[in-house]
Amino acid sequence: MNFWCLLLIFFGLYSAKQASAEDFESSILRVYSHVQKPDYDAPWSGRSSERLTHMGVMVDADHILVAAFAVTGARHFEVEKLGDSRQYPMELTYVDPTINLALLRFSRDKPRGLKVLPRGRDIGLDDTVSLYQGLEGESLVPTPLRLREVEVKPIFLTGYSAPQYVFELKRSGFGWFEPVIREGKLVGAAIAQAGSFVYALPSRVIERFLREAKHKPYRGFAELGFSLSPLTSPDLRRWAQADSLGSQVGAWIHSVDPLSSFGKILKDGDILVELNGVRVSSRGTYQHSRWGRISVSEILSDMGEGQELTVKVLRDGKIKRYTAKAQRSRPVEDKLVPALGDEPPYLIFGGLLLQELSKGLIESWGSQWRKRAPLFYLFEEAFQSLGNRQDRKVVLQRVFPLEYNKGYHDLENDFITQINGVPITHIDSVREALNKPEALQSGYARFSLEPGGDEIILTYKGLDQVHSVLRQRYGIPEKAHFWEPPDQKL
Amino acid sequence: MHSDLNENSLEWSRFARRSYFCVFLIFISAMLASSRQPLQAAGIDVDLKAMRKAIFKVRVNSQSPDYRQPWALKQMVSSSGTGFYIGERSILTNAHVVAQGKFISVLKDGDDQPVSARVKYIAHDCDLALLEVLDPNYFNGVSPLEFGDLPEVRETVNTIGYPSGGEQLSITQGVVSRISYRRYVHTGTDSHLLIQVDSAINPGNSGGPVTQGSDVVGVAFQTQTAAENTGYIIPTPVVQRFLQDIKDGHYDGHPVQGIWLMDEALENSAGRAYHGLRPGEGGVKVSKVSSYSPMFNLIKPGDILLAIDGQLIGVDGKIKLFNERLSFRALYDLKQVGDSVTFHVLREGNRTAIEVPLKSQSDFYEPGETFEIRPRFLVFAGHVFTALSRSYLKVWGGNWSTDAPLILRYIQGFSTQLAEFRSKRDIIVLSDRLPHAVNAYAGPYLEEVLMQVNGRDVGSLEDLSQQFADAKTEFLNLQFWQKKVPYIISTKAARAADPLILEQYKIPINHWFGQQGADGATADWEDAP
Repeated sequence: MNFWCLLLIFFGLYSAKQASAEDFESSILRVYSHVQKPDYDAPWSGRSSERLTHMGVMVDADHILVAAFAVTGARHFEVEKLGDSRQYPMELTYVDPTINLALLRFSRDKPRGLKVLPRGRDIGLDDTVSLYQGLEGESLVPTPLRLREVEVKPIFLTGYSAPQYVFELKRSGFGWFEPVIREGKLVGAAIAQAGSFVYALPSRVIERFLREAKHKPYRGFAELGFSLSPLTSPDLRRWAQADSLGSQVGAWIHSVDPLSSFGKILKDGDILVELNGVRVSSRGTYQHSRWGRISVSEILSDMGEGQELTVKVLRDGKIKRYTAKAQRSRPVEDKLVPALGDEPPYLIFGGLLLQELSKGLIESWGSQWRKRAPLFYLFEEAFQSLGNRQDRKVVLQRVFPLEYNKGYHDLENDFITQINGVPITHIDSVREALNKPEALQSGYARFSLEPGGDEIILTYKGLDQVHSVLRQRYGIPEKAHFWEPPDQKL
Repeated sequence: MHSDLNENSLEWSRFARRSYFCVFLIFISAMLASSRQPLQAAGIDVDLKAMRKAIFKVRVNSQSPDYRQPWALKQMVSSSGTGFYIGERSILTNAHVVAQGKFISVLKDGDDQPVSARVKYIAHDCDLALLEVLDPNYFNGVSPLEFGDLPEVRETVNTIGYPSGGEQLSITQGVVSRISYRRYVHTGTDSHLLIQVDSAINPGNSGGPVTQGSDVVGVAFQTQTAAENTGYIIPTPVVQRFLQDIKDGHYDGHPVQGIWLMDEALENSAGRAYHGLRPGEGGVKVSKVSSYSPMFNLIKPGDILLAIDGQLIGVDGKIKLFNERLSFRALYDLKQVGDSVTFHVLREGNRTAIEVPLKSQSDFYEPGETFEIRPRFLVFAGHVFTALSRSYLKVWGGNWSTDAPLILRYIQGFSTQLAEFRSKRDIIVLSDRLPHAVNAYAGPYLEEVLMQVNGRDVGSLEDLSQQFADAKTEFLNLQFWQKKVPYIISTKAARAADPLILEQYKIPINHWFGQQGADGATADWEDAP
């Protein structure tokens, strides 16, 4: 083949790609979210807003599919068609942070000539696709990629484990919901980048979200309610009487959530042999027809609340089979709520700012939060996060100094374990404990703190006046959540 | 708000979050240089001529254990500090000057021949050490330096020693700017009385006398890097307590405290009224008392400490001591083990006197640096089990407090509050694996903390060794803290592989359980001709 032939082929391919990119400009839009993160030191307000730029995909005549991370804490959305300088306001119609997807719809008018992007099926290993980026500039830029592997890994926002395409890409700046397109159809959306790898949600997850978003009630994405660890050590297998399974079958079950579907059925140390009829390997994987070996929890991403989940487990050398209704993942119900941009639950009592410990609060120590946040917060996050909203930790975030609370001004970042002798497990329990009749009658509110063992003693008397001074001196708005006595002014 | 001096990692972490100032030891290798320091500065009222023979340069070759390979030592380091003669053929210097010293020599001003020395007593908690020398006649004609009283704030003092940058004795004048009860950085966890001076104390000055006229009023020992010209000296009450302590031939150390307080809580009027404090009455509120504390079961959380040995304690936790307002802990801390203190306590409206007999640190997890001859460890079937320590955590570098594994940092910070660890002699970490087929699946358990073997608690490395030796089960079931999957190895295979692995990796000893008080400063002169 001579040089001119090669040149012609090159220009032919180039112009073909250019043409397809332009075609997609009616379906792939640039979205601006004006996000305001919570201010944990002043939870009644928010930090200064910032504008995030990301991509969105037309999934029907009125809706754009975007990543949930781009809408959490967002106050306003605008969308822009590439090549059209006008921005169109949008509104949020549905969001599921579990799977990091959301739907926006046009508030009023919309750009002309928009087209719904057709959606394709899951791709297989080694399939080639294009990732379309239009974060800057006036045109979409395709980046050809090959599917390297599919991995079940935690979703950035909530930690929910879902299958994700893994593409190798040396350039940075991806993971802002760039659509993954193959043969003119949407087959995925990039939601994260780590080093030289870009991670994208596959078609099946997107399809399921779009389907479920129309379903009432929303059935979401199912969760296992327990964790799996490899059972590869021959000694461990013999000790666990798993010899009968052969050397390649069965994974170790642990961290069973007592409130999950199997909470009262399974126990730590059971060995998962099958999940919904699928044989589980000693590494907790199974052989997927298109994606090769993948974590067995991949099966869950195709299930919603109420669907039947069957497990076959080995316990004390005997096989047992159990069935239960799947529960959907509900991050907002978790013990440690992910950073979803919502106002943190808090209460002010005499200048003490009390709030629930959350992932967002821990992450408010900045990008180095794993090093900077208090050790006992990090320990909670790493090892004590199992539980629900009734098991939460309430912390003393800070004290607004007043004469009233003198002596306690330097206290901060402590767990509140008890108030007036009542164990504190969430912010509502703070109110209940403060409203305890015996305490009101005694005139003193007593707060027990850990890990230092400190105790704060304040009087109920004159709290109205104290709160009034707080509002005035520290600019705390009237609508902020101040504690109020149950039935009478003190 | 909190303060506790023997279990204060928590307090330290709170403190560190609020003010990021650092105090670093001034002791580093003194480089030989040609610049000459003036022996006397104008206006300094000190007869250096009479004192100089009693002030020595202390030269040290030290070698610390390698906590990655606990059977080995790290590279040799040469360094120097200062020491001074206090009589009875003894030189006083800082513990950090001679810590891990494998060869120590002292050099008299004007001499060219150093003389071998060894550690007679070492007190890491208060950073002091007493040296003796090979030549019994070495101090002939040398007059010991005498100790004076605690200087007053704003009085002038002179720091004398051999700082880096020259070979000759140097003298620096400074003014006492503060007397307080603060952390000594040598162990990182102990606090004692100290004096802050506004003069530069430089590397090599460590262990040198700080004088007023001809009296020694302290020992130079640390400096603050975040502020210019801020040095710290160990005052004479601490030095004299040390000298008194060793009179029976054994160093017991400062009495253990193990009490947590809310230093300012009783500033609050509601809190005062609740506890029934009288107008104008002071006192500090107790938050926690550790189980190892001599106050355990005598003083209770919620008690108000009103006075110590008749000295009224303010709401700031301070008493009148040495003409200053100082933490009441300073008074407690200057006592000897075996002494007692009497607290006047307000408990649930009743005032009572409680006598506390003081005791030394018992065998519980020591969060401070220990400077032992080598780490306590055990190698079994290629699994290296090491006792958790501050020195081990420093394997992760200078920023170990943020870079070491969370679980180890957490235990270091809260060991005394975690019920699981209260009775343990060692907190045992699987620190390394010498790869072999028998330990091929140990990877997920590296840097994790071992709690049980075959369902039995493991309290120490000795205990662990015994359990490995005694096990009659087919498998060894090792349970690690917060790990959800046990680590299982075949007992027979592990025992068979053990000697082979030691041989294969040329491990000279398979364990070190330490002798009581076996200090790393082993310099001696037994090889002298």
